[in-house]
Amino acid sequence: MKRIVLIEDEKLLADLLKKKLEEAGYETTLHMNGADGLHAIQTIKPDLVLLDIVLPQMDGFAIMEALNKDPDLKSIPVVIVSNSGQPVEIERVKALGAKDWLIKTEFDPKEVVVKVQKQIG
Amino acid sequence: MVRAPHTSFSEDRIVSRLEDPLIVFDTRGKVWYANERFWQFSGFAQDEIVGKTIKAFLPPQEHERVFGVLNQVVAKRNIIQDFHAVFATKSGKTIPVSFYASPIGNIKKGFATLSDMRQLQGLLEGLRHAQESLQDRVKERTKELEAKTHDLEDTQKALLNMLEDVQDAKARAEEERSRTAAIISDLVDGLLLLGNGGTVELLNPAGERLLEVTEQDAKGKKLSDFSSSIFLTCLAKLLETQKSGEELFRKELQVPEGQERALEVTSVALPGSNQSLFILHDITREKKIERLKTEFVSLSAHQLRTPLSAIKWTLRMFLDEEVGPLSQEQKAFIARAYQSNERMIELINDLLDVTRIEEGRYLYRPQFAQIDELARAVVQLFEEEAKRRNITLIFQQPAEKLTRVLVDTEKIKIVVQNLLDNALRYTPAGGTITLSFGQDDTHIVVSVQDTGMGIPAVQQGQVFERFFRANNAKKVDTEGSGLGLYISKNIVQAHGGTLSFVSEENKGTTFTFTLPIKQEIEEFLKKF
Repeated sequence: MKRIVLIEDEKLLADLLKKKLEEAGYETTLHMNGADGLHAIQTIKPDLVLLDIVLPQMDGFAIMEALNKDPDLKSIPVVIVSNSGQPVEIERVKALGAKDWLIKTEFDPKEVVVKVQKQIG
Repeated sequence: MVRAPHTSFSEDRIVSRLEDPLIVFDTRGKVWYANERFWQFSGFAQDEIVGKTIKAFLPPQEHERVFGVLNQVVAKRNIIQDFHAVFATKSGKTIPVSFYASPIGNIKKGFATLSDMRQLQGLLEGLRHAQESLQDRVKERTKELEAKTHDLEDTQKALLNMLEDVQDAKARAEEERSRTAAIISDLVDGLLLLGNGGTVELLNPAGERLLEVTEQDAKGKKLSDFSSSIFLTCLAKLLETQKSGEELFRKELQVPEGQERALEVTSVALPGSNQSLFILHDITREKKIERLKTEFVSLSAHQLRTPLSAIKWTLRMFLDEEVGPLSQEQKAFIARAYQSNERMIELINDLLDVTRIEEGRYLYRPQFAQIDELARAVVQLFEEEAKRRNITLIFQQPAEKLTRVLVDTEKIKIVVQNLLDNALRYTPAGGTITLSFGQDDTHIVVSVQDTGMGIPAVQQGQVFERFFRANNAKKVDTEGSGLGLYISKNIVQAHGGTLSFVSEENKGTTFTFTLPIKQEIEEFLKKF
């Protein structure tokens, strides 16, 4: 079973996503702040990371920078679940190696699953 | 020559020819002799004179006095001179005379000569007249002089008044000047006066502060001679690239990022002068407030998006019956809730777009596009809605194929979408909306014409302002955010085009935007 680390601080969204991913057959762990999330990635070494940008303790950019510095974690695909969809933000996560991104207000949870499947099957 | 018969006085020729009248008399005043001049003078003949007393030639009031004096001459041998008396002629005329009288030898006789005083008096009179006239003239002259003095005094007064006026004016001018100087020096805005050749002539304290150079250091030098502050360097650069005669109005000075201070430059024309005046306005605070406002809106919008996303996703799950089957009624309600939520998301997105435009972070991705094709895709989204509202939506194919232009297709779609959305909202059932295209050498022209309610004439100036909603529009539709046209105008302008409209209330509105074909659109887009 493929493992996903979901880092998202909005409880309702996080619960919905987790439910969707689990329904789609992914083992999903939820982490509500950046530091916990990074720690989870380091210990679990998941198949994919679903990452929010604005997070307590450590934001999405910082987590990506940390992953890029770690050869073991560098190759884990990251899909950004962003709130803003601002082009500057998207450019920045792309530069940091994000595989895909989605903007919360514009996507349905179903489509999140589609994006995940596209990355890890 | 006539001889006096009764006299031992031997006359001689000299006496008879004396110019003055002369008589010889004795102690009793009896006349013994009179010369020819006396005859003529008195009017008597010689024989009428000799033997008479002197009194015969005097008016009665002079008898005693003259007789007494002449008696003294003979009796006491006195000589009298310049004795004034009045003489009476035969005709009774009285003549003022002056006597000279002297005794003659021992013969108890004396002689007297008379001088006609009339001549003298005439002379005196003349003199008196002359004197009087002199006095008159003196008086006149004095008067004239007085008048002149008066005039002079008046003139002097006038001059003094003028002087006073001049002094007043000078004082006023000085006051004015010091007031102006005070205003200039106390002015919050910086003032920079450049003379011929661009040398600094004046820099007030605010200007010194803003440009970080003292007037003393700057005076007589060109701005480009300094590099004391980044603002001075940037101002010099701005003025260099400024076309002559081109006015600056509240132009923000472009400085490298990271500067806390922000300045606006306005040029003030000084007609008939080689000088140019610049007002430097510190807009640091305004910029800060604007930035804070933008940040606030941006942050709130972000904060709003999260719960809206949660609502959206939840409602979607319900609609997809992932959490159990729904009745038709339940589904209909939830679908409406979902739509409301979508509108809310759109509004928040608009707000975010506005804040991005204002922050200069509204990114553009230019690519070549066929504007009519791009617009057709947008029109399709509205076809169903138009049918539902019973509005005819006409897409007028351009007569000739349009030139492809470099645009950010997503942003231009937003413009077309906003214009069509407005047209649909504010056109009553039965109306028509026409989308048409045109092209000239330099621009593509796109028009959206409707037969709607129009924009009230008094409000037409505000159409492109943020949050503007026309009074008549608010009555019909309460949902518009008043941001669509503001965003659209900014998008079109960022492409180097224009967005304008003509509108008549209750007749309809036509919005037209242009996009440059060959212009340096890349230049525009680079900025974003």
